[in-house]
Amino acid sequence: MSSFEALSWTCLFAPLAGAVVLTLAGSRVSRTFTAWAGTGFALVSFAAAVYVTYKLHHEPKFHHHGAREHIFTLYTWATSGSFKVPLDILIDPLSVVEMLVVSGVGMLIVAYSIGYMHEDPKERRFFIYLDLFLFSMLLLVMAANFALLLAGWGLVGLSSYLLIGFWHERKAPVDAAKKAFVMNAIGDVGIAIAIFFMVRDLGTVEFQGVFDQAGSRWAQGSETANWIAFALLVGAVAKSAQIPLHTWLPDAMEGPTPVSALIHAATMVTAGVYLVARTHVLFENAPDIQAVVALTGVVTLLMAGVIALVQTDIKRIIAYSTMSQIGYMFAATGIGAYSAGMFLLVAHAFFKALLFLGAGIVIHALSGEQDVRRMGGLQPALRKTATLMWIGTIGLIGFWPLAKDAVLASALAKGGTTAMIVWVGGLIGAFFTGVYATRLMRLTFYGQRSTYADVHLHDTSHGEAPRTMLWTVTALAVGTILVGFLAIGFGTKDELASWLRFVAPTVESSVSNEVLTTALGWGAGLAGMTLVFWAYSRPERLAAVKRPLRAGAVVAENLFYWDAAYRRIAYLPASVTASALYRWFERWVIWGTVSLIAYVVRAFSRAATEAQNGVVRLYATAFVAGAAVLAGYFLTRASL
Amino acid sequence: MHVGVAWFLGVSAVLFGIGLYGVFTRRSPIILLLSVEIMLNASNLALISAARYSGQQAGQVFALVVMAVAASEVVVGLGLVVAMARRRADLDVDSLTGLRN
Repeated sequence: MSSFEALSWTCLFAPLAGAVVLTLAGSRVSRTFTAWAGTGFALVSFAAAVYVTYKLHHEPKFHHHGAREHIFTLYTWATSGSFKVPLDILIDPLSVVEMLVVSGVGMLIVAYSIGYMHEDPKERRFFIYLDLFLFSMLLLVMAANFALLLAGWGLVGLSSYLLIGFWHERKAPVDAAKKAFVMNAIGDVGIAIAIFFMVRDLGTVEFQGVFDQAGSRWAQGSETANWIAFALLVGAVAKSAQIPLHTWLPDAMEGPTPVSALIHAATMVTAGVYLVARTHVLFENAPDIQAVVALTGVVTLLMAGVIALVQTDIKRIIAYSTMSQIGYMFAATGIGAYSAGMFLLVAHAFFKALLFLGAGIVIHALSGEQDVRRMGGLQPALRKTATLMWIGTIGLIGFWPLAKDAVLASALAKGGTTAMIVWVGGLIGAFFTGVYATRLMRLTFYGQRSTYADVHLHDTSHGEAPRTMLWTVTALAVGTILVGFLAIGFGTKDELASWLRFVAPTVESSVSNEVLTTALGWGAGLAGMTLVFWAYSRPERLAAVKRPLRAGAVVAENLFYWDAAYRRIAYLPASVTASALYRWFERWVIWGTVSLIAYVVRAFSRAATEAQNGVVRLYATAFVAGAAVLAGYFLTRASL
Repeated sequence: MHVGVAWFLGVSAVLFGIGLYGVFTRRSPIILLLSVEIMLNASNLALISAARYSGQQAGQVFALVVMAVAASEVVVGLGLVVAMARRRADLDVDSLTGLRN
């Protein structure tokens, strides 16, 4: 085994080893040790990912199978006749990008948790769950076949469930965890159905085999091709909280803040984008479904942007902004600009984790308060946090990194109805982003400090937060700035696009397209920012802005009635059916059958106990009589 | 006179019958154990003669196993008899009904 292969496996299994070792160690080691060791295992994984990327970068980049593409097999996982599923991982430019994001951003967030979860009664368990999540996510992005991908897909769903419901003493997190699990299960079923099609028609679930044969086996736009792409899309939509399977993500904010940053911003929720980019061959084979991907993205980015305008919980604002940003990524993959979508994914992992962790510092400083209306004027007390969060906000609005503009410029270059809808929708969305992102900063850090904040704000003279928290947020801010240089555009060398060229191509855009799009995007963002600062400067201005939008605000505050609709069409009928079944079927049929069986058995046993009278010679007689009957039976048969 | 396998099996059947009669009619646990031993040896005889008749060794081995089992059974059985004798003078299996349902 080469060092390259060994370190690839190390990257995958280090977090799992962490979860197992720390579980077995239990309370024999101190809480601080568990926290630092959990971070250490994530760091090992990250170091391995860096080495693997470095090695891969030094390989020649000719386009043929085997160049910058390695498949390592551990053993055959499942066999059924000629159909085999190996346990193998794929190391190629796309998977190493994801490995770096997952293990790198993941490691920072685990380190942040050392400070954030300090003194929590279940501190050890938290770090074990985090390591388990990192393993699941790495399995998802490193898998070289669909079955293993589905295993990772399900495992991230499980660890997400465990972490959302981490504070299970309260009802809300438990409900949110169940909701997330059920919605994600819908997506799992989608992917499973796609796999069934592959097994039926191709007899393989290996990425390479499927992508090589897909075009010849399924005609472009044929029914099967559409079904496969649609089933994969269902999986992607559920995991990435796109409309209509999005309602679990805002509720998932009941989990601890590092969880929101790691799972519900940086890594897991963007897995849908990775899935579409990875299987783009299948989506290009079904152009109608690919258009649906783009439109889903546009609808989500607009709707989530509008809802984010009226939210008052700091974490929910960021959650809706995550949905909106993933909408941009879906739009990018829907128009074939995969590497632009991946660029936004990587940039988003940094600036959104940064925003969440910054919000975590604010929540920490205010003893757990999350309502932005009860904040305000925190900038003097949390100077560093405010500065760092501004970097995240600039990233979110799209001033730098120019990820959103890369997506929209590709849409403009692509042309056609779908792409133009993406372009226009994306620019409108940029305005909403400017408004809600700035509103979050304005309400949290500036203006009159609320009485609540006056009373509850911790003394920050000894530092704003534990050191592990501030350092990791600073590292993410540096990452946000640096990641922008991966792809600047405007005719400069696009590092990320050329790195991903053969795995996740993009739509080449012209310099004039990019200048136009970036100018409009910046303009929309700036307009939003200015509007917020102008409106919030005086109460009467704010009222004047809000008055004509009253009706729309009600719709947005009711989350476009998605939750209410699901309650009516799914929850209520199920609940009524279940209680009716309980009342009639369970109570009479099931309990009745069970009682009847019990009655019969009891009556029979009572009769049978009469034979157990304790007289040994009677037993012997019965025994011999039984043997005699059997002997007689067999002897008569033998003589016949 | 040629002594064939039928003779051996006949002796075995007679022995078995004697043992069975003992189990049915006697009430002393020691005699009961003796009768059971007679039955076991009757089956041993049948096994060995069948093995000899068929020319295969499996029956012989099986008889050895039966002897080992019989020895263990006698150990346990006599142990029980001694324990019983210590607790009560009356050694009658028909009055030992303490384990009924």
